[in-house]
Amino acid sequence: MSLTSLMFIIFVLTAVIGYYCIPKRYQWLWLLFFSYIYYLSTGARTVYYLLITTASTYLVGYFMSRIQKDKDDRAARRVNRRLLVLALLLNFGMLAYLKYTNFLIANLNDLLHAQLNFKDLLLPLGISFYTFQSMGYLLDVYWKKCEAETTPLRLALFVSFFPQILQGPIGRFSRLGKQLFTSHTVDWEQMERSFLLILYGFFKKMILADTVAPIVDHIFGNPTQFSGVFMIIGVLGYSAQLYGDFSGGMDVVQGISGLFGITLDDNFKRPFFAISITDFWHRWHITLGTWMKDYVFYPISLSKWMSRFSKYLKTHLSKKLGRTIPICIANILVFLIVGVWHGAAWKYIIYGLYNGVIIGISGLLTNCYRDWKKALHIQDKSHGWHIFQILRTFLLVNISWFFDRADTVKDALFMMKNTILNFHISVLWDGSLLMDNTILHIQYRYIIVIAACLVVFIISLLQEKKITFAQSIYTWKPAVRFVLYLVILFVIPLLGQTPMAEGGFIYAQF
Amino acid sequence: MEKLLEILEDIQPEADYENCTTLIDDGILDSFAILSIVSELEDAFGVSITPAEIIPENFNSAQALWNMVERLQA
Amino acid sequence: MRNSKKYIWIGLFLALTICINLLLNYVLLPYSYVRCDTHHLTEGGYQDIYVGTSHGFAGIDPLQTDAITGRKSTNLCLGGEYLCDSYFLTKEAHRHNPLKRVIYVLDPGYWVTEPSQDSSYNTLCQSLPWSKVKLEYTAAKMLKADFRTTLFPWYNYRKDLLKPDVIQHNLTTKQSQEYKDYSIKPFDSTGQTYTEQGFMNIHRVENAQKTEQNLKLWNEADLIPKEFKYFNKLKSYCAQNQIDFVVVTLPVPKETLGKYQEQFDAAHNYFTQMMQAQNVTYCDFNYVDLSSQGFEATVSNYNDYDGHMYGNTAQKFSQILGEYLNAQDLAMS
Repeated sequence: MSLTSLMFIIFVLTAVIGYYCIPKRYQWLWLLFFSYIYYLSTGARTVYYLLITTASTYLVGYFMSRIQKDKDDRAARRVNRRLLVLALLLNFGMLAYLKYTNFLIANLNDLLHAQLNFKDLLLPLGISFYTFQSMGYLLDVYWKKCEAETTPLRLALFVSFFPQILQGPIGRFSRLGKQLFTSHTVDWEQMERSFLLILYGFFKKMILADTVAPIVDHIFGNPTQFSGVFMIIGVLGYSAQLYGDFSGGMDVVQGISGLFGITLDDNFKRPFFAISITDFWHRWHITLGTWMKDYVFYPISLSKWMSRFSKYLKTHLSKKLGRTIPICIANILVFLIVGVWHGAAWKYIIYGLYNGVIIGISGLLTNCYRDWKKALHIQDKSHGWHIFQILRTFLLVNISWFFDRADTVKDALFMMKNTILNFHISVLWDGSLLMDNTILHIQYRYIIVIAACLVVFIISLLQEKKITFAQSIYTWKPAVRFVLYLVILFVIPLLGQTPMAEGGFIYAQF
Repeated sequence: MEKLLEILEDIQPEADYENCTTLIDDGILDSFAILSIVSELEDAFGVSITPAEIIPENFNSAQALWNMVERLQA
Repeated sequence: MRNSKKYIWIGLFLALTICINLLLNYVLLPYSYVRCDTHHLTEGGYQDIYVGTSHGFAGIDPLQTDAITGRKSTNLCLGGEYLCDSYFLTKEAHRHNPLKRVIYVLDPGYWVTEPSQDSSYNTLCQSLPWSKVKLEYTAAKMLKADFRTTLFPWYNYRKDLLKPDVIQHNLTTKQSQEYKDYSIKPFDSTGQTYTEQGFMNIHRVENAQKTEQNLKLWNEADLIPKEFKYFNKLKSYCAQNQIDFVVVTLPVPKETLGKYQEQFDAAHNYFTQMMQAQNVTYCDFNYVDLSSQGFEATVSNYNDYDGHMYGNTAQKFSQILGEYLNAQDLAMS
């Protein structure tokens, strides 16, 4: 069931209306019921994987908390550690097997000139998202950051809650669980905000992302045909597409969830206003970043072997390096995983490493930066410096997109080389921008994309200045709001595009 | 506590550790800084800090950090 | 604000949305011959219907076949008509007419291409009069489609908002008596004539440039399960209602056949075997000697390389089809 289908709209309306009509104590069961209907309607053949994850998460979480209560601390920790490792191996093993087997086979075939057959594996919908969410919960229970859930069906709802299962955000039990299981009464203000958020999400997805997508596809699909200016158009277009698609999808998801009175964690916070790559990852796919930080980065950095390594460096090199090098290694590891998470291909690994290395280097050089800034008399708080930082980060992020979007690492490098050595500024006015009209209505597309970017930019700028769009709108007169919603509702079909592939959100395939 | 403030100043000088109680919530300390602090605390006070301790409540202010150290020393 | 006031706002919002939508539909949606097709069905009296793809739309003149079969038939083939559409068209036809025979015009390319959600996607659904069939059809066709195609039918014609003459034309047509009478006159153009029997007569143009841009080639790996599902539904619907079910593939130009011999052979073998296994009467006219019957399948007799015949070619072919149907009828009885 695609998020943009008529069926999904009917489905959501039924779920919402029913949710507030039935007795309050059954509300969470109602959500569970609809979550499973949703999952079965899209991924019936792979529902077993979801069930295995749910069951193993529930059982391990439950027993860990029992053991923590019954046994003394040390013994409990030993048993629990085994249970935890078992559950992690099972669930991440499933994920890895389904997602990476064919990648492994392809590389083995290449390396050993072997002829291994590819496996016909169906990737369960949302597996990356629900696996991460469930395992985060187990680690929280293990670290006693949250109580284990005792009712199996409640845990099943936490794992499968339908608005978020397909493309996140990756929720935390301590925040999401509470909201899922308590009863909700109609909150009109939240309803209206959610409705606006859904409209804004579709606006970003259909008017920004889907309009620019064919241009981006065409350029990245034929890298040798185009000169440098097109590479820049392609990569900037990809920025707009990816942001519109993913953050638009998130707005829709958060909006739908909000209709049930449930607030999901933010996944985006105006990423293109970031002042460093670190900051970018605090604003882009936030829930993946914080998940990686809490469940990979800290545990690795604080592990026994890492602290031994740190001590070794401290005695043999310097105190400072002994402190920072292990952090950099953990950081690069995290981004390696982030890269692999995006897909089983070398280009994603490079993409992850690129981010990890930049963050690592800037971490190592923090003190040098401080000295340089002092020497150059740069005021940290000045506008000019702030804008410079934003532009620098934007440039670095766009370079990373080449790896993310190009078909292969080779293509990505070729395109980057082309950007610099084969610029051809004249294509801007000699009509080449129309690309021989291979893309339908391309001149309108350019205009619509630029206009949509402007709208999104202004809204983001206001939000950066702490003027929250939705909240300030709510102070307007009802009639004005009414007209605004009507206008957005009709602008979506008026200016939006249908994607080539059916109803696809880019992140729904992870 | 003196020693703690010294460590903090060394790692991230641009903060008011005496008064600020939102070091994490306002993003003054990033994960890099947090781990640097942890590493220094472990060396200076001989404590062992596990991932379970890395929660905003323990890192939001110098006082909270100090409380954690004292608790772990006990 | 009190709740009752909220409900009034919501109601007003819905009402306004519907009104604006209807207005845009009225202004932007053109008068379609599908509306005539479905209207003619309600007048009754048909024994045979032709359902299927655009090859049938341009290739079968019911007047010619009827002269030979002695039955009364109508051509319900349309460009972009998939088996799902054919199935519900058949049901709709049978609602008003005691059908004796359904002839499905099979184009192998349609079995391997997903329908695109373009302007033709929901025309039929809009043209059907309200009934159980329309509801079933809506559920089958529209639920999974993008909400803009379904809830905002003018979506596919929005670019016409920039063309005042098109809007003017739509408005005058829809206010005309011809529109109210379901007349086919407005569809006449220099290039083609539409007939009451649902046949699109494409006029012959000498020395015309011909393309193969709409050609969809067969590839077994791309088979769409949905086509199977509705093929079986159509077949069993006919069986349940004692309606004869015949499947034909219309001839494409020899030039196309020669160029893509491998794909056409594969399709021919696939469907011949499938129909045999299903016990369905099937004739692939690409593999029948038609020249002995006076029909020349050269591209000079076609509008394009895809296989859309010129009107008079189609009329000649329709006679051959009529003879074939008669022969099948004899064999069955």
